[in-house]
Amino acid sequence: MGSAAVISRATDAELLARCRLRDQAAWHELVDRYSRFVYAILMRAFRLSEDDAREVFQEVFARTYQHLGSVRDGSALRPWIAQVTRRAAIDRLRSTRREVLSDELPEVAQVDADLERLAEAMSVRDALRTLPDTCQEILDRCYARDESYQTIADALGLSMGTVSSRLFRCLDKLRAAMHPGSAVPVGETTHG
Amino acid sequence: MADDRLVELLRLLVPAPEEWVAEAREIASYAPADDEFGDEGDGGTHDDDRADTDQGRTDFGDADEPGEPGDPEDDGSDMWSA
Repeated sequence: MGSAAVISRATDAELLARCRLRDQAAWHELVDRYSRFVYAILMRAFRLSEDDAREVFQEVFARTYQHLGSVRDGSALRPWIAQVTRRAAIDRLRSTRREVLSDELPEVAQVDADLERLAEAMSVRDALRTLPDTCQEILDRCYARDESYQTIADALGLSMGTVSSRLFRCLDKLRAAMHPGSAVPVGETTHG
Repeated sequence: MADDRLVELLRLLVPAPEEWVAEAREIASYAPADDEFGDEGDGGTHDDDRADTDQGRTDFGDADEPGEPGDPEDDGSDMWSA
């Protein structure tokens, strides 16, 4: 099972506290947790070029590491990182603005809407973190990594039928984790 | 939440390139933390990246409103002006 798909179960508060103690493993976990978020903000919301995005990505994490002591608590970490990323992306776009056509700059309202969606997506990943490793793996491979059922089946040593049924059950579990108390029994939902 | 919406949100956060992640992980190996070198910022454009909440500045909304990235200096209305 690919460990890259399994999310650390530590809370943001725990990671933050450990990072402040120079726990490098905690820093690695924090990077792993937020790398997709930062990447998505840069590529989706701000539509940076890959070269620019790569540099800004490193700037964001460098600033995050340097200013960990400034983040009040774990609940502030995500909006803090989002804000640092947003500012770094804007700085980069401003610095290259003369080379970019004005209609290529994202609208403010669209950026805000994108950031909101990405924050919601991170909440889904928070819920994903509470699921068994097998569910995290299969949901991540199928949806985030866009792997085919065959690829997943081969990687995990499963039949395609098992992949399909496991996806079905894991989505149910994820939905239940997102909304405790409103879980729908297996078989009563439709899956596209 | 409907499955379609859940799947849509799962699809939004694709993995960042592994090289980028590896480079970011290495930051802890060589970058100074603010408690060693003081909270001087990194010379970037936005000095208030420091989120100096001790002085009542809540640039990231993390003192008064957890989870709200409040930033009175960047309300988006002048996002593209120098």
